[in-house]
Amino acid sequence: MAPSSWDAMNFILYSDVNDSSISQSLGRPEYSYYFVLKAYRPVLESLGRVHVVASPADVDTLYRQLLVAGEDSLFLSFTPPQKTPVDLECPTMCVVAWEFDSIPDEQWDNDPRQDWTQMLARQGRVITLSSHTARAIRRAMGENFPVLVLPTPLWENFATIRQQMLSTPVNPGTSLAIKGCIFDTRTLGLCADALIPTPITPEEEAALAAAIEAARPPPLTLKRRFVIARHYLRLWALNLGHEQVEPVPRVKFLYNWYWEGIRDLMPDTLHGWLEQRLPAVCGALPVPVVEPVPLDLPDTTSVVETTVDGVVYVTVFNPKDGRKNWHQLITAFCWAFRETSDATLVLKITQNDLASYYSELMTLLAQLTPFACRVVVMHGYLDDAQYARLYQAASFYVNASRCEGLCLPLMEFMSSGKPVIAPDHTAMEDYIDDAVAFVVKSSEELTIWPQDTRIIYRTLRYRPDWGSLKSAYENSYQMAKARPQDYQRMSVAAVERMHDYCAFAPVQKRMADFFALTPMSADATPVTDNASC
Amino acid sequence: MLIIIHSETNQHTIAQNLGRSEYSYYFVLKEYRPVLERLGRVVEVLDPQAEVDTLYRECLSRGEPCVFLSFSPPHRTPVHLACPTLPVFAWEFSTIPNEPFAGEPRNDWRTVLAACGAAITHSSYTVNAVREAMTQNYPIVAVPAPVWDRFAARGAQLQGQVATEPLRLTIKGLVADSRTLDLNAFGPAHLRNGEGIDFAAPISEQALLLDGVVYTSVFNPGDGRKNWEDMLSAFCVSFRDVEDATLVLKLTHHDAEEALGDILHHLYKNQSYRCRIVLIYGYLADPDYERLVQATRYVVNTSYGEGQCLPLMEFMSCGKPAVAPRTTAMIDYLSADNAFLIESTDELTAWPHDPRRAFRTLRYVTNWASLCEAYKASYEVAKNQPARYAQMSAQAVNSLQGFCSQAVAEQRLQVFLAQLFEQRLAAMEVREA
Repeated sequence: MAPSSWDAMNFILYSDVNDSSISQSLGRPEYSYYFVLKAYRPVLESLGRVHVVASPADVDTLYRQLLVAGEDSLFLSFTPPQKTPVDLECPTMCVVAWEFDSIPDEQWDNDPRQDWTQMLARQGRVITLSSHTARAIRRAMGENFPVLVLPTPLWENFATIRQQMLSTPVNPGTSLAIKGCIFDTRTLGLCADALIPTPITPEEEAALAAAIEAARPPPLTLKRRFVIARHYLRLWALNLGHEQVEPVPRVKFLYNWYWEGIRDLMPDTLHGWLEQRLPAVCGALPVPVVEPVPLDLPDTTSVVETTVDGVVYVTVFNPKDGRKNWHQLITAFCWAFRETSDATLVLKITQNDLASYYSELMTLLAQLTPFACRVVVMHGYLDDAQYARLYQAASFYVNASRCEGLCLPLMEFMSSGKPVIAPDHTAMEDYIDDAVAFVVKSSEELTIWPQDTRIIYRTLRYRPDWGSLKSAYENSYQMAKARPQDYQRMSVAAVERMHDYCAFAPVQKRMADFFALTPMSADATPVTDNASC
Repeated sequence: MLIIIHSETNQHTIAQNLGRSEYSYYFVLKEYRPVLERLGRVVEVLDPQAEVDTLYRECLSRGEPCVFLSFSPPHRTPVHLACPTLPVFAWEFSTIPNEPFAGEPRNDWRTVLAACGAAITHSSYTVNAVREAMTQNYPIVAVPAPVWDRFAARGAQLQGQVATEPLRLTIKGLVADSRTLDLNAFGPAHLRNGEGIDFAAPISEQALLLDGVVYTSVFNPGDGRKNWEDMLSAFCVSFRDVEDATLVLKLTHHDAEEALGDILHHLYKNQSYRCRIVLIYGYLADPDYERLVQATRYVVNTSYGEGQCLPLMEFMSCGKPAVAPRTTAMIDYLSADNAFLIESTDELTAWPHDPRRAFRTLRYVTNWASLCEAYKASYEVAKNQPARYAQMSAQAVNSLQGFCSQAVAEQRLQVFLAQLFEQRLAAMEVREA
């Protein structure tokens, strides 16, 4: 008897990042694919058998084994289409995370795989995370091209957090801990005036001029030239350099004699000629490279703590991710609340390399001083319990991105019952509106496909409206302080919205319908994560 | 009355200062001069420290009123002269500098404005920003550079001369035309090929033929406010398949390669398009400038803010409707009747001369999609609605007359200076009494 379709379906999964490499990949582009894989997995497990392979090279071996056993397989590649193998026997389907309004429909670098339309046509169907991406794909592939829009199911993961507390608009005080370090504008002592060197006083200027004068060598009189020549030529003749602690090559004395004692006597035209003929003597020394002063960065190996209270805004992002528009996210906050001391913005950074963003962030904060509100930067790794505290601490989550393929943290905080500030463009159009968010207006702008080495404008992203972002901060603060019932309504709406959008059952149903499979059971396995968008 | 005038850039230094930060003050001085000459004797000085107070004392001894107009931002205006000194300055931000920085007390403009006791600027937007920082009745007047008369006269000559065939311009300098350039010469280094532009080549005369619907913008690409990236990209997107739409960028800068380099790269980046982009770097003799104006259907501005914007005022005075945002100084003269308005939003920024780059003020960012709409709507009017175009053109001339005619400038300055002298006199009498 032939097995029924569902118990014969095997899902073979692959992503460039896996459990063992994830900690090094924090903040890299392929990083989010790993979270998508992890989040899809329980859904796939409810519809068939799941095999995660370590390399795409393993796919066909597994496929053939299963085929021999009479079972069907589908390879789900959690990598961008241009990195997905094209020569597999196993039916292949890409999971595409994408945040632009068009997909690459031409090739470059003589690489046909860059043309996604070719790749998707070959595979015949595709999974993506948002309706926005589905539209971009259908525009290129035709209205009837099979696209499954599948957000990552995560609503159930926040059941505990939802049960533990009712979201409160004004936080009475939550202590936050992290293994890493915390920067707090209340204690950093930043100041805009410190961004430029203090102008020197006339006295200092005079002292400096005197010091320069004193350091100047005596004038090159004939006598002086003779002294210089005698000194260096003696050292050269006797080769006295090799006796020194750090031996000086003999030619170095001729070099010194030339540069200090006679070079200025030669005509300019001769300098170049001599430099070519006698480089060891007449060639200029390379200009010494001035090493930048190493940053004095704090220790990040121990657990540190701080307490936040008042109206607390939280955002989670990687500063090296150009989509995040975090400068505006911070400037609008500090400008809106420059005289409001009980507004706090917590930045949870998903980037391992502190040095890669430290100066940029500290400069920005200094440029904004003085302000009464507070910005807290959390760098490092949060374990599940610490993350739970962060969800609890938030009054609002903030997103000010130019484009999003999904935005996991935004969904997570909403699932925890947090109203948000966010634009309603790209993937966020699927779950952001006035009922759950202070919607930030935005307008389109041109951009490149990020992997396009020709850097030609081919697609659109969005330019969030700074004025509207600032108003969203002000309006949300007003609501938190003055209209707690409205806040509660929004909090409940956020939970409901996320239930409909990314609870296990609706996601499972979408997937089952797409593959025409029947679920085996309806239980959900929670997945914990430290996800960026 | 003696009116002493000065700007740091003058007729001797203008050539090397083209496109540098303070150069436009000289153009404003030049435009003010004929109007000031109707109000009193005008003397231009090169060294205010040495000359102003001598002239002032001579006036004092004759009992002749005397004022020094320093065409400079307040932080570069002398405050210790005996002669009454007024800064004449351009500004396009929501707040004026109200704190000292970099060890210069004059960087707090309130210090200078209080010491001078009065000031002249070019827009009501700036009048409001100054009064916000000073007092609601601080004596400051908005007098735009009076360019209308000269350009309206040119416009009247051009009236009715709607070009049916291409207009030919002769340009002493560089012309880069997207139709003839190999755009791949301006791509990323690893893909660059084709013939670029030899910036070291000696300056020669170029002929340029313009036809179709021509949009023109005159600006200094080194001026970070101009936002030419949006101007260009929205044009290329709006007219990707429109062959007879042309964008002429007339660039003012002291270094050709610096001026054109980035823009050329963006010509590459925005491809492909059937519309035409022409970059002009070089001097246009008056007849050629007039022909450029004649060939132009719309003047374009996509700035983050303007203190007044002389080229926009000039083209509009000539009867060219604009595509521009109604922000800062442009609030005073743009309307839906004479321009296709671009939406914009505010954004936090720093005062341009603050080396700390401390966030203290707002500028205005254009809405890119609305710029595309403005381009398309204006093209439609130019092609298919001649009556509407003529109406907008006439409206442009009228509105600019009300904004920047010599008559307006003369009247405002006369009243303002008269009040000023009256108050000073009264103050002196009180002191003496």
